[in-house]
Amino acid sequence: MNAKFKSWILLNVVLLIILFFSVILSLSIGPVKVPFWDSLYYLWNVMIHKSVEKNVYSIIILDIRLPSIVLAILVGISLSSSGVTMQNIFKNPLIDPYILGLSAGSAFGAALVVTEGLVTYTNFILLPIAAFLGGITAVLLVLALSYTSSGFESKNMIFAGLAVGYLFSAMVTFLMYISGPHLEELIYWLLGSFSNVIWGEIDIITFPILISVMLLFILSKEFNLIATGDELAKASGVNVKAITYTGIGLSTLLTALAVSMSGIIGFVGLMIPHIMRRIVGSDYRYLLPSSALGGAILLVISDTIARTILSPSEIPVGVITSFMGVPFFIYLYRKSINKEVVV
Amino acid sequence: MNFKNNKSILIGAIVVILLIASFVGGFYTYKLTTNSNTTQISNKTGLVNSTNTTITIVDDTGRFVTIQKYPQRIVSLAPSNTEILYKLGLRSKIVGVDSEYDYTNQQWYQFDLNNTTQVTNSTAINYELIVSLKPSLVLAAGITSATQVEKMVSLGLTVVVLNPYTMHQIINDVSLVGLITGQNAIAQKIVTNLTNILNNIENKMGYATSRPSVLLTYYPDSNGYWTYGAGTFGDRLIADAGGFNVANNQTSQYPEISQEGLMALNPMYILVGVGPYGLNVLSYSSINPLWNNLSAVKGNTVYTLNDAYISEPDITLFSILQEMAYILHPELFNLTGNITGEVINGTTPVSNLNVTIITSKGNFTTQTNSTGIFTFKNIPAGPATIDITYQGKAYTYAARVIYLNMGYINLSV
Repeated sequence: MNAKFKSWILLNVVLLIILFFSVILSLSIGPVKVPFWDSLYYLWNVMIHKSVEKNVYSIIILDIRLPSIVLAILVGISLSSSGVTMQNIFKNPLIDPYILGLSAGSAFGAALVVTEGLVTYTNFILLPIAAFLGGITAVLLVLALSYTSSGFESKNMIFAGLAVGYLFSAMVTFLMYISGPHLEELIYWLLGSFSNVIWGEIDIITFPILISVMLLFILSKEFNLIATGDELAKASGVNVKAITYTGIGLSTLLTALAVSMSGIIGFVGLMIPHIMRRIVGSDYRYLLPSSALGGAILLVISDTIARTILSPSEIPVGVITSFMGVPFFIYLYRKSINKEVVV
Repeated sequence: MNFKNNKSILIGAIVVILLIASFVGGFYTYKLTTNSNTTQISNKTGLVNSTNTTITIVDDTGRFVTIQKYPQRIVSLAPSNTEILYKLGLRSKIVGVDSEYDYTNQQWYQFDLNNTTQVTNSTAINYELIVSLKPSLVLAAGITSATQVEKMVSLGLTVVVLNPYTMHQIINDVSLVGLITGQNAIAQKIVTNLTNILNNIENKMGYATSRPSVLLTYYPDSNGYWTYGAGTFGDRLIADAGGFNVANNQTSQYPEISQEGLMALNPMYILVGVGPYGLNVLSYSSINPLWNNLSAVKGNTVYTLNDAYISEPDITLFSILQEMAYILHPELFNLTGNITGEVINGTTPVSNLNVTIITSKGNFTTQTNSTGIFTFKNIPAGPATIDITYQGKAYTYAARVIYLNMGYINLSV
């Protein structure tokens, strides 16, 4: 094992420890004061015994805070992995997972079912499904629009992504204008939040997310070759088209799953891969897992901040990550005017 | 991993199957663990079953809910629900309220918020606070989303959703809350009272011969007037009170009618809600230069309604409905009113002229004074006809004797 691999392992161990402590911290902070050791006690017991007595503290820890934390981890993993993959495929470090119109498409799907009053008590899962399908539809539309006989070109895809994004955004705005009693519900969803999720919904998305990330990891070698350029990659025996489609497909799946449950949370898919690239380099085999961990940590911490900074009210998580994005972009900009931005 | 064609297709197929399987498995687990899938649904809000210790009802969303008799700790997620609880004498049992609304601005509000916790922040619900209050009943409303209801149910809370669309359904909800809190006696009193008001108005409306056009506005600004579109309670009240809502065909539920738009619509009545935005109607002309050109302003059929922040389906709506019915159709309720006017020949006022007004309940005659003005006070209100004879010619005009205000009409000869 070379030194680089060893230090990468060490990094990930550190990240895991940070994640662990972030989770513990997040579990013990909230509008209601839960004694610290109680939170650990309930968490431990539910993992060992699968069930725990139902009292105020256990409900708060296990049914309010823990689902939010688990969702934060899943969404962090999804958005970061998707960000890394998209940046790799488009060979551009300024790409985020929403580049192909996905956020606008999901927003449109959600807006449609909410403003039409279709989300009722018996079918509230319709909202995540609509958001998911909306996101997928937008990306398919972008791929269809950017297709040329010589295959896909990243420039075309980005342009089409912008256009489709604007189109769906305009439709969302219109739906918001004509919506009646559901407007606030829709706006709240759009801002991104982890607090309304229930365990059943987490059950739906967990395995697809984990499997997709594993698949992306298995394709690390191919992605590394793609990053060097399509011609070089083809010469090395990589089926560029297939890998590109697969990468975009899995990224879209991951992002759509994340957005369907949490709403639109920005900057994670852009910031984390960037930061991690400076630490571990561009090797996809190292970058993907570390970014996934980094994303999970960022969102768990953001969720904790969102829940506590204006306690007892809760700021939507998307607002927190947006605020974080600003200094990050300033940092990027300052770096780029001082020297060339290195991918 | 090499990408030889057959192998990659096989692997691709396995991947897709794996993903689909994980989705299916996920949905299966979701169905097993989520309450909404085992809940029955019914069309009729009301009582289903009552035992010694429990009572089962269907709420306004059609859900069957079983409540332990009787809830001693109640969280209300909307002011309309809080009002019902308060009027049923359950103030001491309220442990949590929403924070979206300013309770001090309500007519029925007489309690401070001591010993209650505010559990919402705009539309966001703070689940930890609600759970820590250990409520035996959560009264949600139309503004509570399905996702939020499901989340609360997953936390073990008993949630009843009140979401009435008509005045009759509001009465139904009062009855329902009385049922599940053991306050049937008080509830029945309120129900009887409200039903009488409603029936009285509905019966009388059968005799109305026209629907005057109405603008009901709760907030003017320099761009126009915020009003109630179709599907809102404001719109429903106007219809129930025998009027026609000029904003009825707007696409938005709370549209703003522009100043010119209002000129074009030119409603017969303008009703102004003095809710939390309460602006003096007299100041409207300073906000809208076209205000004084409106027929309703010239004819003095602009009314201020006492408490008209009509966006919640609460009990106070009934008194507002009654007020509106009196204003729009005073003739149905045997109310008296007033009208004044001027008789003008070109630009010259006609003095000492006999003016006769024919109302549904009698005729009255008076004379114009030296400046051509005549006045009728406390005569039967409603649609009327005015007859005058000037220089041998007979003139007839349609008029309205206005309830409460002094109506105005300009008679040209």
